[in-house]
Amino acid sequence: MSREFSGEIDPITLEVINESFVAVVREMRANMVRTAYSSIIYEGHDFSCVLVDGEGELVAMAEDNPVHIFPVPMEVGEMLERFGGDIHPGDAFIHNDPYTGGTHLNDVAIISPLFHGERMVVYPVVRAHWGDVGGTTPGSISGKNTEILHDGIRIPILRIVEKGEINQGLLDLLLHNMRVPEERRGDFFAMLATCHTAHKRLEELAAKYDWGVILAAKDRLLARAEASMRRRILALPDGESTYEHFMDHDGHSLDPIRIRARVVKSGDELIVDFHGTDPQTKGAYNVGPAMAPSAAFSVIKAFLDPKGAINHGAFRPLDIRVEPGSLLSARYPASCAGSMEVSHAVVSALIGATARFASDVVTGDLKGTSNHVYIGGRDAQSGEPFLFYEFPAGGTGGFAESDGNNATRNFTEGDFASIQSVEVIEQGQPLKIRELSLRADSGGAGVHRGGLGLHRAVEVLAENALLSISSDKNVIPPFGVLGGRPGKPNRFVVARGGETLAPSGTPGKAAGFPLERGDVFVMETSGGGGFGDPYQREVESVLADVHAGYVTEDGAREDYAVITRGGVLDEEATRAHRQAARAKRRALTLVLKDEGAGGDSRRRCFMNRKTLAGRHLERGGLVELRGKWGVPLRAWMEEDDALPDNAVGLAADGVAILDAEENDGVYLSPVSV
Amino acid sequence: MSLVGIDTGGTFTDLVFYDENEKRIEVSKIPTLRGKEDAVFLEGLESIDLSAIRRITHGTTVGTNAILEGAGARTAVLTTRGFRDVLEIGRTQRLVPQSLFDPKFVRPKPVVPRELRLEIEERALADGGIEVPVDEAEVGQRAGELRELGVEALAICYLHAYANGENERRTAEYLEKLLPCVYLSLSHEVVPEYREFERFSTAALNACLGPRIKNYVGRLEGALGEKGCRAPLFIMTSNGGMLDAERAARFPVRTILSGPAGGVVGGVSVAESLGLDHLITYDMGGTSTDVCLIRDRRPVVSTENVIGAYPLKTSQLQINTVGAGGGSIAWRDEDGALHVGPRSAGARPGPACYGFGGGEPTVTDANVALSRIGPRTRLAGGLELHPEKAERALASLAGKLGIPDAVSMARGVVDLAVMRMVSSIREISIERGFDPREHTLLAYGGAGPLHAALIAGELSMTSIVVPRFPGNFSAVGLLMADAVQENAGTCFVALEDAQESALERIFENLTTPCAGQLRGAGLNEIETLRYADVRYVGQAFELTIPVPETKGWLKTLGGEFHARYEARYGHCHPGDPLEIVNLRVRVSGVVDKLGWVKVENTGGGLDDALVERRSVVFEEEVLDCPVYGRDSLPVDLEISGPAIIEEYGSNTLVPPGWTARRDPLGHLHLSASG
Repeated sequence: MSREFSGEIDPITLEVINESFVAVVREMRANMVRTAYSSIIYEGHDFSCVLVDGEGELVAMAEDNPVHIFPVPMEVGEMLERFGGDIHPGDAFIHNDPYTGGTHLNDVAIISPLFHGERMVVYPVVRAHWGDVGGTTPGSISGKNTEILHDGIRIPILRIVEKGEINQGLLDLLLHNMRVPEERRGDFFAMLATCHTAHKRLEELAAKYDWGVILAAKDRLLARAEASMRRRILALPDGESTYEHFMDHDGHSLDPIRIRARVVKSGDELIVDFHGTDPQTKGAYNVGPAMAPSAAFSVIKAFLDPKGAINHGAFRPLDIRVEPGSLLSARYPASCAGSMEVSHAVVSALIGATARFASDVVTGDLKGTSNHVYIGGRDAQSGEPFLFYEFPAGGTGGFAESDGNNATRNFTEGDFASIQSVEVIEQGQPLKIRELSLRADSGGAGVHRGGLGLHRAVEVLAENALLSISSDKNVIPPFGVLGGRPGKPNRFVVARGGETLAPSGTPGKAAGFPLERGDVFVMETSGGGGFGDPYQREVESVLADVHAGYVTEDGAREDYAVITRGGVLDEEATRAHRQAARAKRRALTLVLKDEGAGGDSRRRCFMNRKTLAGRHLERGGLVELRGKWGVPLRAWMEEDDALPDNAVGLAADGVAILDAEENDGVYLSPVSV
Repeated sequence: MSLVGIDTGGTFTDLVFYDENEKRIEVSKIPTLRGKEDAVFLEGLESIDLSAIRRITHGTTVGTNAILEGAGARTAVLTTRGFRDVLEIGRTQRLVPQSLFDPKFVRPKPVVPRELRLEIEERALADGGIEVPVDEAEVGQRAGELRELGVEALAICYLHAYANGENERRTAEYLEKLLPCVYLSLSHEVVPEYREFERFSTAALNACLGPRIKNYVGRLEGALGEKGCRAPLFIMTSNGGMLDAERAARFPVRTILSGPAGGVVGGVSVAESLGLDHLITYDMGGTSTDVCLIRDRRPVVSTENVIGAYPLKTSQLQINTVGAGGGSIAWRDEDGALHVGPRSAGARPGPACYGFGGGEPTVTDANVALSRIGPRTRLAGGLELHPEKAERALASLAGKLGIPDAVSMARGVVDLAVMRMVSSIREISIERGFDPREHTLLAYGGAGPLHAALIAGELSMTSIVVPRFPGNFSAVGLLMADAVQENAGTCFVALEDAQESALERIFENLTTPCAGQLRGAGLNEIETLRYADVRYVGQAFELTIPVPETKGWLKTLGGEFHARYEARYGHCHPGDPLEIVNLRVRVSGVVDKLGWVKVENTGGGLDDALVERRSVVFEEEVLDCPVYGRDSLPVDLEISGPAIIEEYGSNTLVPPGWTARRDPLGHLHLSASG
C-alpha cells in the first residue's frame, strides 16, 4: 500500500491516516488500562492520551476528558521554550505545574517526542490522574487548601528520560514526596510504556507512507477542522456579548466569585476575553492559564460544531485571553486544588456569553462542579481504613427539543461512573446506602424542564469518620434560559437524630467534618436549568411528570401553574391559574445607576422600598434579570428610594450584559437560595 | 436421523440440514418476514421429514429486535424501598455514542418507566442476613396496583438478593397466586451476582422479553407437534451453548446474541477439525461485521455487556460488531471527508448494482466496479447485477471528492471498509494483549471471504480459512453447539481463609441443578467447567480463573491469578492478599453434532474448475484473473493468486502473493507466500 508522496494527498489516504491516528490513540488508552497500577486509572479511566505535532498542536484524541487534553499544547509549548534545541530522540518530559499549562497537581503529563532525522514529527502525550501527589491531605485535593504547597509536589517541565535513560534521582525525589509511592511508580512506567507503544505504531505507519505523506495529511486534517469551525463562525452575525457568572465563594468568606466572559465575533473569528474576572482567590478555587481556554473551547465546540473533528485546527479561529493574576491565570502561591470547580464555572459563563450566537443550541445551565465527596475512617470491626469517594452527577439543562437528562454526566465531561454500586459499597465499607432516587422538583421549570438531580443517603456504620466536600452551586443555582427557571442547587447535609446539620459554614466546601455512627450523610445534586417559559409547558407533559413523580403536585402548582388533585388534572383551575400567573408578570423600567463600592464582587441592582415590598423581594436577596438573549443576569437586591416606582437601577455594564437600553422594560424574578 | 439448524437473520433465514446417516449437509436461504418469523421457520421445514429429525436448533433475533425497538412487554419492577430509580440513574453515565460536546444528547429511556417501578418495604444485607422480611399484606397491595397498571411482566429486584434470594422468592410465591398471568423474573435467578444496577437491568430485560419469547417458542413447539415432529427444540444462547425451549422461555435474556454466536461455535469446530488453536472469526454480512477471538479453541466470554444503553450481565461471547458490511454506503460529509457506513442500503433499495434504484455507492458496488464480483455472479437470492449502475454511483462520488475515476474511488471505498474491520480486530486482539499473527482468520458471511486477504495483509496475518458454506456458516454452527447451563454464586472469602472442601460444596450446589436439568432433557454425557472470580483485596473488579477438578486446586489458584493478571496487565503483586468473589460453573450436555466429512474429489484438473477469466483490479494493477467454482477445485492443489473462487452465497478473493488450497474437508486455506 506504499504510495509515493507527490505533494497532494488523495482523500482516501487522508482518511486512512486519520483512522490510523485514532487507532494509535485508542491503543494507547487500552494500554494504559492494561498496565496502570491505580484503580482511578484502570477503572475510573481518569486519564487521557493524545497525539501532538512538533509545534505541540493537537493531532488526534479519542473520547477523552477534554479538561485533560486541551491544556496539552501549552505544556508542550513550555517544553519547547525551556528545552528547544536540546531535545533528543529517547527523551521524555514530565509536568504537572498548573501555572505553566497543567490542570491540578494530581494530573501528571508525560511528553514523549518522536523524531524523524532532526525533526520532531507526530508524538504522544499521556496525562493521568495520580491518586496522591503529596500535600496536606491524602489524595491531595482539598477545598480548604490556601496555597499550592498544600496541593502536593509541583513539577515544572523536567526531562525525566534522557536518550532512553531514566533520571533515577529525579524519579526518586518525586516519589519520595507522594503517598503510596509504589503505585505511583507503576503508573509512571505504564505511561512511559504507553508512549513507547505509540512510537512503535507511528513508526510502522511511517514505514508504510513515509513521514512526508503523514505530515502533509496531518496538516490537511487540521486545516479541515479549522475550515469547518471558521465556516460555522462566519455564518453567525457579527457582534459581541458579555456574561458574568458567580461561583458561590472560595471556602473562606461567603462572598461570591465573579467570572466575566466577553465573546466578540467578527468574520470567521471569535475572541473570548475574561477581563473583569476576579483576582485569584485565597482558597483553592483558582486555575492556571490553560484551564479557562479549555473549558471555553468545550462550549464553543459544542454549540457551534459538535460533530466536527477534534484537533488543533478547530482552535485556530479562537483567541482566548486570560489575565495573569486573575483566578483564571493564578500566580504562585495560589492553590489550584479546586480547579475542576473553576473549570465548570467557566463553562457556565460561556453558555451565557455564547447564547446570543447560538440561540437554537443554548441549554439550561449544568451542575457547575465535580461534587467531590470523601468519607474516610476505620472499620470498627476489622480496624481497616476505608475511603469512600464519589462525585455524583446532576441534571443537565433543558433545550429547544427536549427536557434535560436526569442525573447524568454532562456534555463537557468525560463519561465516567460518578457513583458506585450500592452492593459493592456495602460489601466493602462500613456504610449503608439508605436511598438512591431522583430528586423531585429539582429540575429547573421550563417549556423543557431541566433534568433532575439525585438524592443519595449514606448511613455511617463506623464509630466515626471524616467528611470532606469540594463543590459549587450550593448557594447560587444553575440558571434557566429563555425564561426557564433555575434548577435546585447542590446540597450536602448530615442528618443526626432528628436534626439536620450543615457540615461547614461554607456550603459545599467542608474539610474533615466529624461523622458519628448512625449519621446519615445526604447528597442532593442540582437539577439542570429550564428552557423557555414554564407556563407554556404542555399541560400533558406536566401531568406526565406528576404521574412519574418527577414533579410533585405542589411543584406543578408553584412552578407551572398546573393544578392536579390525586393525579387528576383540574383543567379549569389550571387555565385560571396560568392566566393569573401570567398577568402577575410586570416588566420593570430599567434605570442606569452606579453601584458604588460594595466591597465584594456581587453585582447589585436597586429598587425603592415600595416596589420591593410590592414584589415580595428582600434586600440582599438574589434575583435574576432576563437579558435579550435569554440568559439571566444575576444580581443582589439593594434599596434606593431615590428610584421611581416600578423601576430597577442597574449599572451601565450590567445593562450592557442584558443587551438592553435605559428605559427598556425588563423582567426580574427572585432566586431562592 | 437428521439435525436441523435454523438461523433467523434480519434479511434471510438460513437453514442447514444434516443427514446423520449419509453425512450429507444441505443449506438454503429464504427471506425473513418481520413479525412472521415463526411462519418462515415452519416454511423452511416443509421439504424435510419431520419424524426423522433428532434435534432442531434455532438462532433468533426476536429478542434483540424487541429490545432495540423498545417493543417488549408492558413490564413493571418491584424493588427495595428507596431504590426505584436505580434503573434510571445507573452510574450516571451518558452511554450515548459521540455525546461528548453534544449539548442535545438524550439518554435512552430507562428499560422500565418510573410509573411502573414500585417499591416495597424489605431489606437484605451484604452478608445475606434479612433485616426486613417482606410482608404478605404489602405484597397484596402491590399486586392490586400492578393489576390496575395492566402489566404483562414483572421483575422483582431486591438489594443483596444474590446473597439471599428469600425475599424475592417469597414475593414471587405470593404474586404467583395473586397475578397468575403475569410473567415473573427474579433478579437473583437471572443473575445470581452482586452489583444491583447490572442485575436489575438484566432482570428487567428478561421480564420485557419473557412474554414474547415464551409465546414464540410455545407457538413453534405447538406447530411442530401438530406436524408430528417429536424432536426437541433448542434455542441458541449468547454464550455459545443451546438452551432447551422451556428454559429459554424462562431466561430469554440469554438468547440476545443468539445469531452471531452460531458462527463462533462453528469456528471452534473448524479449529478442532483442522488442529488449529487460535482463531479470529470474521463474519461480514450486508450491514455489519462481527469479529470474535478464539484462544485455545475457546471463544472469549464476558459478563460485562451492554445492549443499546442497557447493561446485560449474562455471559456472552465477546463479539465486537462494526457497522460496516457489503451494503454500507460511502459518502462525503460537508467538510469533504469520505466515510463508509454506518448507514446501509439494506436489501431494498440495496447497492446501486442491484438496480432497485439505490443511487449511493456501497462496498458491494466497489467490489463490482473492481470486477472482484463479476457481472455474471449471482448474489444471494439470485439477484442480477448491473455493473454500470455501480460505476455511475461511484463516479458521481468521485467527482465530489476530486478523485479521477470510478475505479480509484472503488479502491478507496474498499480500503476504508478494510480499515474499519482491521480496527475492530485490533480492538479484540492487540488491545487485549494478543498478537493477531498467532491466529488464523476464519472468514465467512456473504462478504467476508472477499475481503479476508486484504484484512489479513494489514494485520500481517498469514493464514486464512474460509470454511465450507461461508454464506450460511452461522446456521451451520448451530449444529455444533452443546446444551449449556451456567450458574454462579457470589461468595466473598479471603483466599488465605478459603477451604477447598467448602468451596467444593458450593461448586456442587451450583452444578447439581444444572446437570439435573440437562439429564432431564435426555442428555447424559455431562461436562463441567468451573471458574472462580478472583481479585486483589481492595480492587473492585475480578478476573475469572478456571478451576480444575483435581484435588489441591486451591493451592495453585493464587499463582494462576497472578499469572493471568500479569498476562493481561503487564504486572502483578504476588505478595498482596487475594479474595474470591464469585464461583461459576458451565455445565454442558454433550450432543451429537454435525461432523465435517471428506468432500468428494471430482478427479478433474484445475481447468475443469475454471468458470471464466476476467480482468480484475488489484491495488494499482488490472490483472487477468481466473475464476474457479469452489466445489470443482481439486483437493489439496495449491493455486496462486490472483484468483477468485465462487460458490453459493460468497466469493473468495485470492490476491497476488497469496495461495489457496481446498482441503479434504472442503475448507479453503489461504496462505501469504514469502
